[in-house]
Amino acid sequence: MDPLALEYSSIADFDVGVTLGTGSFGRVRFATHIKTKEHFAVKILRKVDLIKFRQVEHVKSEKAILHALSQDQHPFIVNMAASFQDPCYIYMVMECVIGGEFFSHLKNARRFTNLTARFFAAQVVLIFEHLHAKDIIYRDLKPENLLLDKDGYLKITDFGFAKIVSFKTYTLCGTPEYIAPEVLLNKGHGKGVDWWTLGILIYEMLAGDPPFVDEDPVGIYRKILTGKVHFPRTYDDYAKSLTKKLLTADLTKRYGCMKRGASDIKRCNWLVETKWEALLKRDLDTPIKPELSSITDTSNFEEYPEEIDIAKPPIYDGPDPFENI
Amino acid sequence: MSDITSELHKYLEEKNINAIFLSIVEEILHNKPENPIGFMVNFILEKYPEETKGFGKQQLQERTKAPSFVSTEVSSNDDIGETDSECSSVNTIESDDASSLLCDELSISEKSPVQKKRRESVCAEQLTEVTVAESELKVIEKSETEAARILYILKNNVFFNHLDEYQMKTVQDVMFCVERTDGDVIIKQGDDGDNFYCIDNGIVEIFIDSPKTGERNLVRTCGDGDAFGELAIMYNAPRAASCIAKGNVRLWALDRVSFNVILMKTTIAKRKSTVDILLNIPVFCLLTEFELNTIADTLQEAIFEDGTVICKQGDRGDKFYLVHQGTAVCTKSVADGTSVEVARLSTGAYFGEIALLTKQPRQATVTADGSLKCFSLDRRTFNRVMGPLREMLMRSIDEYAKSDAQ
Repeated sequence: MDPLALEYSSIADFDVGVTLGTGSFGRVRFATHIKTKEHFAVKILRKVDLIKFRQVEHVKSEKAILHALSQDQHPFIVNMAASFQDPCYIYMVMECVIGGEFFSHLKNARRFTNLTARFFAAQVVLIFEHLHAKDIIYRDLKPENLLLDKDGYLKITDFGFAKIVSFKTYTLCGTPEYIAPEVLLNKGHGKGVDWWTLGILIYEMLAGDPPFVDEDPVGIYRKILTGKVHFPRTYDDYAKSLTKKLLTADLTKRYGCMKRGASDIKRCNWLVETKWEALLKRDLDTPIKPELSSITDTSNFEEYPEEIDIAKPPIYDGPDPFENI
Repeated sequence: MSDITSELHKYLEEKNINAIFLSIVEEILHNKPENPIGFMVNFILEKYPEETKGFGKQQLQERTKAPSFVSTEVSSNDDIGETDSECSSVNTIESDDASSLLCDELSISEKSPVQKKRRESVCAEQLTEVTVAESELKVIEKSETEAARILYILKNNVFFNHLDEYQMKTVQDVMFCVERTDGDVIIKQGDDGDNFYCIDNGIVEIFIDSPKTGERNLVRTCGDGDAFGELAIMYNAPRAASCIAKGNVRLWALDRVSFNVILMKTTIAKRKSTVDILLNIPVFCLLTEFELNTIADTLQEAIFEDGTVICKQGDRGDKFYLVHQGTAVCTKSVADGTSVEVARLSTGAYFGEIALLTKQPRQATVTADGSLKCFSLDRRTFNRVMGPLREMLMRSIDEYAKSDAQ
């Protein structure tokens, strides 16, 4: 057995620090491995809530997919170093991505310039290309699930809805503003959904808001199914052309879904000048450089109240569905 | 009417002031700009270039520090051209760099952080192919007119109008009747959502209780043919409003599990039966399972009335057809100019597959005999999605030869 894996076998091996993010089933905290002084972000999920909200299968699948993906150490994916559990929690020890949430950077900027948006869009293309080559669809792209590393490169996180699918799958999931029409129609969906969400992300980066918005989800879904997109005048023409090709309901015409796959996107006018290899090697200048005083500076993350789950959640009294993962 | 008023009216009418204001207000409401004044200035400059000539658009734009936001509308469902001519439609515009420069300037000048909230993910219960195959659907008997009324409602609802005829009928079959009397709560705000409802007859009032004040507001009144609770057929979310019967109400309800089971079951069955047919067609039989599934999902439904000529002998073909329901007659013209029937095609038969491979003229004329339902696929779509069939066949033959040699 890998000697390191042994030392990462319990939360007691870590000095757990501030909260970096929260979700429906737990939170992510900054953590320092006591022995090696290495820094991590530990995702801590409450088992009772996972069971109550029927997320057991999703977490199992997330863990398996992260484990498989982490073998490759892709530069734009938040890799997992280890995972373990105790009676109350599931822990996933993730590499620490210190530049803050992409969501906060976009929120503060209101919208990105064309060049900035293009830089991030290109990285998402590389991420999806990598995942799809492994038959993994991600299904939940949105600014909330992207982080910036210390240099300002993207890292995608939260693989809760990711799935290994060779052809199509059927469970509706995602985030209302980002859900593709074929997902709403319940007729089965595949890798194409990720390219749709890229179209929404590009739009949100350039326009400040996603293209289909409404006060309630049914209103959003109506707009998605009707398919009318209004572009602000400031929207770059080449970006608009790609956005339209990604936000195409007809899967025989959506970019990314056809014979040439992602290369249709990589060769479109908006992205054609991207230096793909240099980008993958993180050899380019980044448009947003997070301000950091040290590698443990968590000031790029928003502050979260810490006291909330100091009380341990109850232990689920039925058989533990996580026993063998 | 006084002289002054009539003079003002005359002026307003002559200069079309009402319409101008209306269009400004409309555009403002549509775009909800952060800086309405700057937006209006830009809007007027752009909409009335002649009238505003010499107003110094650039300077004005800089002074008002607002982006021009006159929206251009596109429909993402439109045919946006073939991939072969990728992006060529935008080649005429100014270079990428020049336009990005302008955009960068504008967006920088317009920073105004707003409160954006993190959006939660949503998810439906997982249905496996096994549970779907095993689940029994309960058919509720309905009169012909009841069934027709339900179909009419479904066909006019954006969440159902994509269903094919068979799916529509199956959904209609499982919908069950719910009868309520005055004051009955059909849906309670905050409850779990399981059913979608459409009103057969009666009135339903929809209320939203304000979480802060506890005040109840009527937001919509629904009558015959209206529908509510669509979200419940997608996933379980707390109901956003309460729906209360006003007088006697008769409703048709559909539950999420049945709806999803129907869609998944019919989609998988249709794909499987199509793939089974494709496997028997020589040009397809060597393709991979993934490729066959993709072709099956790419086929389009095509319905022909009795007597319609689907393809004509001698014409250049570009479409492949599978007969789904009904009969088609193949005829060939002979030397004396008359035509003779050479074959009759029924469910599972196919024709025109050569059109996916070459532009060879059609070998026979195919005509619908009675109403005919086919699935079809044209060469352009095929090439776009799958690549040229010729290359796929060459690859399959190569692989076949290799495996044979071993």
